Amino acid sequence: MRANLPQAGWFIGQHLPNRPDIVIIQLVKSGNDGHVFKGHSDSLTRDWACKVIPRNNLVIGAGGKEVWRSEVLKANSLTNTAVVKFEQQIDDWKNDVAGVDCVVLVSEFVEGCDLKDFIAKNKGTVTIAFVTSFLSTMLNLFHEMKLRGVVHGDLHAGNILVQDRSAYDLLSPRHVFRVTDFGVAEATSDRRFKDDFDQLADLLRQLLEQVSYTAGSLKEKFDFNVLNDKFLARYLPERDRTREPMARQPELLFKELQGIDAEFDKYAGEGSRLLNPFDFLNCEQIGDDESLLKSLYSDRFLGLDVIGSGNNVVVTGPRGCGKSTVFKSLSLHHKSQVGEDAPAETKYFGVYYRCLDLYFAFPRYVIPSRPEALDIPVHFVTATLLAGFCEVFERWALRHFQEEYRACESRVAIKLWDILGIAPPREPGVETLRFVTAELQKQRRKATERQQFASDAKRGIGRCWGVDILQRACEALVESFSFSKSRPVYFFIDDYSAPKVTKALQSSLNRIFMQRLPHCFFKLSTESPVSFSSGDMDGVEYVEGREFFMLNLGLVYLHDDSDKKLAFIEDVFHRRLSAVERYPVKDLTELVGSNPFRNWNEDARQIRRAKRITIWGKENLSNLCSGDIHYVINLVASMVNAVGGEAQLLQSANTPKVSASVQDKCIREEAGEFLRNLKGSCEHGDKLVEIASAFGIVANSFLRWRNSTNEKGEPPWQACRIEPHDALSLTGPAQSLYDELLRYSVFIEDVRGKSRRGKTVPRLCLRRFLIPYFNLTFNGRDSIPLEPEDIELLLTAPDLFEAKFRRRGLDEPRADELPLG
Amino acid sequence: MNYHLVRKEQFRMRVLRIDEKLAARPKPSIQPVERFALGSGDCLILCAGFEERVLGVLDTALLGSVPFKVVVVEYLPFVPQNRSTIIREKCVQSGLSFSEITYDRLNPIGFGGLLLERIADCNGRIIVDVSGMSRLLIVQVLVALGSRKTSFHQCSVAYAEANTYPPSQSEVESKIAKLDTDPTFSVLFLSSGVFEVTIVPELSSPSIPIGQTRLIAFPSLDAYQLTALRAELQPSRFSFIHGIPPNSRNAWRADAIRKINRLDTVKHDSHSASTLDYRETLHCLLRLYAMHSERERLLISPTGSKMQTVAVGLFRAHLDDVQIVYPTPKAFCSPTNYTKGVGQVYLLPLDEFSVALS
Repeated sequence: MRANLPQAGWFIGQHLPNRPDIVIIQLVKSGNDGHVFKGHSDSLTRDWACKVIPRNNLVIGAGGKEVWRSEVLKANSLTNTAVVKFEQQIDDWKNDVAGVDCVVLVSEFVEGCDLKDFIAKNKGTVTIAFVTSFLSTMLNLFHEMKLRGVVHGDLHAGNILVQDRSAYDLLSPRHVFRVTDFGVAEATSDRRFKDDFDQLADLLRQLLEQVSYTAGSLKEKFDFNVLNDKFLARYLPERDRTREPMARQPELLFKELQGIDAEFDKYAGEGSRLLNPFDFLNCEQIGDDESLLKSLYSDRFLGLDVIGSGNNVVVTGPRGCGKSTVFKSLSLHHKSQVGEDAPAETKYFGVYYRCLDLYFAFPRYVIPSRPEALDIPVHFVTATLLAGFCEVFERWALRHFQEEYRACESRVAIKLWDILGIAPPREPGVETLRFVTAELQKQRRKATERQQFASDAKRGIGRCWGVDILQRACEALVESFSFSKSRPVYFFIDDYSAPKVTKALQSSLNRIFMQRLPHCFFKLSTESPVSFSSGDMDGVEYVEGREFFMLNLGLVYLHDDSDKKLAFIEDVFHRRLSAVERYPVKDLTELVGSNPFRNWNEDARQIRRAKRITIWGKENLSNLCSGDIHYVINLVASMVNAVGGEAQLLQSANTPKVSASVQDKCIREEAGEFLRNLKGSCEHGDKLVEIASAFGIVANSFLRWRNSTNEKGEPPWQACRIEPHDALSLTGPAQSLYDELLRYSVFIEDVRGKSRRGKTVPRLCLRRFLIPYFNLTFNGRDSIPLEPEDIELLLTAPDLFEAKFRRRGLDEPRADELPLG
Repeated sequence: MNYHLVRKEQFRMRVLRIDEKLAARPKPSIQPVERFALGSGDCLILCAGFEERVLGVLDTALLGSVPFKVVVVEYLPFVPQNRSTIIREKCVQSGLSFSEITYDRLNPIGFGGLLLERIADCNGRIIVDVSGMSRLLIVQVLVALGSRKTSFHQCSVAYAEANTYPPSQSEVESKIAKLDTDPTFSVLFLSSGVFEVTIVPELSSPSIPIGQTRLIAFPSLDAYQLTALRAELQPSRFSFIHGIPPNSRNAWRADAIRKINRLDTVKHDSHSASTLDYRETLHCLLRLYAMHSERERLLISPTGSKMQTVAVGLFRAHLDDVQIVYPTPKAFCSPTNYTKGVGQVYLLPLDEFSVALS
């Protein structure tokens, strides 16, 4: 009873009656049973906790037996280091004058605060890592308590201490949970014995209430829900094992807690199965279904060797060409999910990052005028990428090198805190990568908040990390373990494309991504060469071939004449057709047939005669592909739909299953659909369609009315590209349209070769699948030669361009037109 | 034995997440009003759009006698037909103090904060008239109000229906028929094209971007909106919330929207919610959040009706891990082709939503 407590002030400065070396120096707290004081012994140079309990508050058994004594000493049988034990010797403290008739329980003094204070100080900001760490400690303790038949009886937030261990202990974690007041409840007169599991549930509830669910990562949300829905709602409060096998089983509960990570990893998307070979056209649709991604990923992808090389690489190519699929497939997360992360096969640690995230955090980014705001994006990206790396690295290391990882984790975490320049929070568990990751998540949030006020001089920005932190942290991590040394980190940065990731933002982040160091390499995918900025905000222009290699997949596919492209396409279809059980067709040849005929001149003459040719067969699918494999899959899907779908394929005895005429019709319709969608895709979509159409009409008129003069037999002029004669110097609006054409890959820029005037000027190749739509051939021989001002005309006034260049009869020489031959 | 039972019942519990708290709160219904009185400390925020109904709430409020404050949101780019002059005249005639604040449709970043500064001295009720507001503006305003210390205390949404909502059924059907014959034909009604998919940092989600993205959208008569969202964001999953107009005469719209957007070509899950009763949309969003937020990054595009957008705003005010994405129209059709007349005026008190936030 609180009423029995003597005046606390009387004890200050007093020496313990039978331990005169200990002097009471400070009241720590007072409860219902007694007071807790901090005592100090000069001779031992250490502090002690002295719990003073009035005798009237102690339970006395029959015949005056001091049953309380055994209760408080019961916990001394426990070996768990979380337990704060009382000294075996319990002394009386009596002073009639002061009205004191107490006993004093002496234990080690635990520096730090109790959980109650901790919660009060961290309202809404308790991390899931902290909660998990707490629950692990408690379940581990409960396990031993169960084995030894010990109960606490009064677990509450005031009895859980968050200990700050002395800085001179270099071996153990600095912060740990401790549990005090074992047996005190049972020993005192209130005898308010409380069930330990119920109390633990209540503590868990108090902690979870202070976790911000929306601020967490997906993994933290998953952890929160498991702790909330399983541990709090089911396991801890249940007593009946027939209803809940986990009830009152600390060992099982501990294992369940340890297994949350594996449970999170086990999730294999929505369990999507490929029911139709043409579903999941792109990587984004596949989402987190890693096994599906694996089954659809082809390692015959052109350019894979360049991407996997130990260089910084910028990969560009039309949308749907598989950049994301490859990047994601090479990430350690994916490899772990599909069981391909064996150490022997892991040459690098791949971390996938999609820049949509940057777009959300830094829309329309411009270089801020305040110098202190310059590095906000660097801070954000460093936090994001490092958090991603820490997460996958930890899981991979625990799976394959658990012992070494556990032994060294704390040292590495301390190193990381140091590199990040952040004082770790005073919490148990901070010397783990998980806590570092949680902090990085907070830093991300801070960076986005700072960005909102980047231009507001009234708001402070705070310190931001420099461009070296990511590299240093990665180096520290991989170099700290014998198993990760010599393995670099590859960051696969997907969709690093202007305008979403503005050029200004790129110029800030390139200071990280263009560094050449042995521990980190950056693989950037970008929609087109014009969506990538190769400079940085310090004025440094990064050089292709030195700081980075450019892999233009559009060009790789355009120029492939080794049939690798067809082999890749066939492999992709084989995987898809085989992935669907009992699908009536197993390969592309069976579906669309083979049409190896390649006489473009004859095709052109046929177009002249009959206005169009019939395009069909797998070779033509390959011809249509500018790398945009997703388009080819979609096209074949439309062909199958056009013949009545899977059921009709099953019944059909035709070879190929899809007739040539249907194939041809679908090829043209899909191109039309592309143009329709292009209209709505961006601000100038209508204009882009007009430009493409004007070029297509002019090119078709050339084919119909002009002959190639440098070829035997003077075949029709077959041009599906523009060849500027001189370097372009476009006006602002025209340049913007030019960039959009490249961004949406209506044209693909070919930087190889020189113009007829010997100038190194990129040519513009029409996207391959638009070629039949405009009744052209796949012949790559000819081009439409244009002066820069005519390209300006095409871009700004496509109707005038068409009027100027369209042929309406046999060669009409025009004074202002360049000769073709 | 009894002791055990009591303890067990006490602890058989979960901590309610913020979305569950919001789901559990009673939600006020939207109330039709003929007139409502504002006090001298009250503030009406309205938008000087070009539809006739932008005057509906102001006129209804003016039926009360006490002068109140008005904040007029002026749109950029400027449309000559907008009704700011009439609004100003009405304020002057009625002795209302008013101020103006500019909302640049093409650069809307940070508007919520500016608005809060403007109404900082308002110590009475705040009425947000959403009738003439763009969808993104509605979400920005509601999220800004929710972020205040007092949250939605003394805040209400006001909304005036129109009498007629173009386009007509025959107009839509004839354009859909044309679409069947010309795949590149553009079906355009109220707006044309998309300027960009607008992101404002204050409506961005800071959570770590692992996992896939799910786009929650409200398909509309402007197919370019969904096209742009798909092209720019490339989401992995789609949830579409189809609007159910309160008047059954407009029920044909749902099917037309499906056709115009070619929704049959997009793998998605479908949901329906009233275009007027915001609670249906809010419940739908909460269900989707409960189902998917643990594994997916949710993107919401508020392209539905005004009151559905109010639901999005209230939802986002509580759940900041949801990303708002908005396909800003490139241009609007002639104002003469917009809604006609002023219909029923409604009021929705928001005080109840402060509780879940607190």
